[in-house]
Amino acid sequence: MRFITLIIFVPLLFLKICLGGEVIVYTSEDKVFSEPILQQFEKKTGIKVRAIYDTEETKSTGLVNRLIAEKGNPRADVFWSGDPVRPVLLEMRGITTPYISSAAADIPKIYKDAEGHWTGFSARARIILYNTNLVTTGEKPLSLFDLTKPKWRGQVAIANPLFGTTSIHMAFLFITLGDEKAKKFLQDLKANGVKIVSSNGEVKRLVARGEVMAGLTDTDDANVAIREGSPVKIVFPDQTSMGTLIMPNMVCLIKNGPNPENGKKLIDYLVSKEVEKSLAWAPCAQMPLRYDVRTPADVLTFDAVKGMNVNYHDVAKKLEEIGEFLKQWAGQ
Amino acid sequence: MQKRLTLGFFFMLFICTTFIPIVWMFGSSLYEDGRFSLVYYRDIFLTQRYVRVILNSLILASITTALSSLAGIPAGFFLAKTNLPLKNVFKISFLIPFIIPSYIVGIAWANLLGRTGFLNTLLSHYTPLSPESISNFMYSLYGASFILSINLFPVVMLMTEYALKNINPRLEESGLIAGSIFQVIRQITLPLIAPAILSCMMIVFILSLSEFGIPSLLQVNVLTTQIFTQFSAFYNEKAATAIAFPLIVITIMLMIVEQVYFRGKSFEILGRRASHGTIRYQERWLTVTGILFCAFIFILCVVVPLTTLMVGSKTVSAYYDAFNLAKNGIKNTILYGSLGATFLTVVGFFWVTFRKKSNQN
Repeated sequence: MRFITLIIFVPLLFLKICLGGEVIVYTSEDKVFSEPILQQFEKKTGIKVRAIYDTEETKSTGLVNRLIAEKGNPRADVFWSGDPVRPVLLEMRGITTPYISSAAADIPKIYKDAEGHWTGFSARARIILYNTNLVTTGEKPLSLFDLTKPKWRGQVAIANPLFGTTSIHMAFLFITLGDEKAKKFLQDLKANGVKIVSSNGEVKRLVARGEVMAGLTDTDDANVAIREGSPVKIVFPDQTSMGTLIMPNMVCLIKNGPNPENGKKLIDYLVSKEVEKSLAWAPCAQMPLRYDVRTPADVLTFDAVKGMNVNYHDVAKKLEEIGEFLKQWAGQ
Repeated sequence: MQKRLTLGFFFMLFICTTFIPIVWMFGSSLYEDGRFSLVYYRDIFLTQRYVRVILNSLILASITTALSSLAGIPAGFFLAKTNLPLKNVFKISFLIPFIIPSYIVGIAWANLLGRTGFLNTLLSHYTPLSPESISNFMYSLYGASFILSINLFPVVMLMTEYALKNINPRLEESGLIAGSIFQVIRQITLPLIAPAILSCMMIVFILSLSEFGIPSLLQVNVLTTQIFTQFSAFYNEKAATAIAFPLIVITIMLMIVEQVYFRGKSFEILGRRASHGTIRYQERWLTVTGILFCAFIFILCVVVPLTTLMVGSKTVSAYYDAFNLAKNGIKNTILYGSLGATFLTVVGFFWVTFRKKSNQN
């Protein structure tokens, strides 16, 4: 009986996969936010999505390592990155292939590769999160440089700058300020007793509990803390000078992936208005890169914040250059 | 012939799944630009920074092993050898810190001992310690060792209890006729279970050396965090492999020391359970000491961190949400955990049989 059941169901299952096909996506966007989006795509298109998620522990670089290791025999069709630089690193290593999605026509040019190796959508920003029980509105830091002042001694937390979005933030700072000024800023921060912790989530935890007065983290972590009812508020730093770092999600098509056509369909979906709206209304409250996407009252669109203007290729190169300095700075 | 083929098959399976990938990995780390090169290994052994990292790893593992043994050996003794009330409740509760991922136990303790933590407030109020120094302790090598020992002491406890329950009771009975409990414990019981205790201390030492979660959370600079940095921040697989080399050398050295220490010695321990069961000491003071000790461990290692985590989760709906999010994870954990355990048991069984057979020949 079992044998007969197997004979009937296995080919049916196979047929189901063959009809809609499948697509394999690696994503470093938090699973809790990316999974519903991918399920929605599956429902709409009938294409089975096989998703591999990164974990907090591997800090968004585990999958990049995997894609590099699989270069000769790619297993993934699409890489959905939670940050804007890892896809550029993959492009530089010849792991991506160009695809210009018509669905992304209304996304600003600065967030898309001209050749189509990567396309941006919904963004996060690097912000200063402060504890409202310990810091009044009048005292809040308005610039990253404020955090090096004696008032904030031992009261600031930052995630290990070798990983995740903090590493990207550092590379942006080195390009915007120049090497000397950026190094001085970091040394001043360290001399002021900055607490280097394991992740942005840990920064959020320390600020929310009042263990430090302020910390550098991303808007998604900050918004989760706000929605949890923690006594915290966000500052978009340096709005009158160099601006705040805006970090869109980025998606790219993997060269010689097993299902390129379905990969393109997934990219079309991910860069759509519908996904930007979903991510704006999710607890991560990401900023849409389009002007006409409806958002909750507390979620800004990217044009409401002055962003740092830097070329992503330069950032990817700078990231490799400053690695050793950051390693020493972090005491590792 | 069939027996030999089966053994040979499992031996090959072990070699292919465990041995070859490691050799392959180390082999490739010895080549740079297509040529034989020791560049990554030279960095490790000749750079002051890496020597410090190796030392940190050894300190972490040593303190963790010592603290785990201080908690685990007496706990195992009281569970196996006294008439402790609520014995099963204690035993199951003591396993909780081992089951919960070390990272989560670490978060609980970071909440407790952080500047605004409950224990920090209590300690800084009633002792000369400042909130800052307590928080600094938490984020140090010693804080990491403390949390890891809470996570790993159940290993020592379980093996001590198992070894004590499997001692031939006639040996202890004879001892009790001629001497006091202390003499029996010191001269008969402890020497008999010494190999089991040393083996589990070695396991705890190796587990602490290879631990990544706690050192990463507390930003402690040890070999595992260095491996991760090379692999994840610099995408340098060869350097990461080279940094793993000292871990393998230390583990092999420990195994050799264990082999040399036990060579030629004979012990009356595991797997030779006597038909008369286990001797339990009836002394009231011993039972009271056991209750106090186990209650202390129960409060420190189970109640305090679990309560902190529960308070942190704020609402009951958080558990419902967590369950919904983790549904697939739970399924995978059970499935892959069962498969892994079965595979290890089967390969382990045939490996031991293979070794015995080759020793006989």
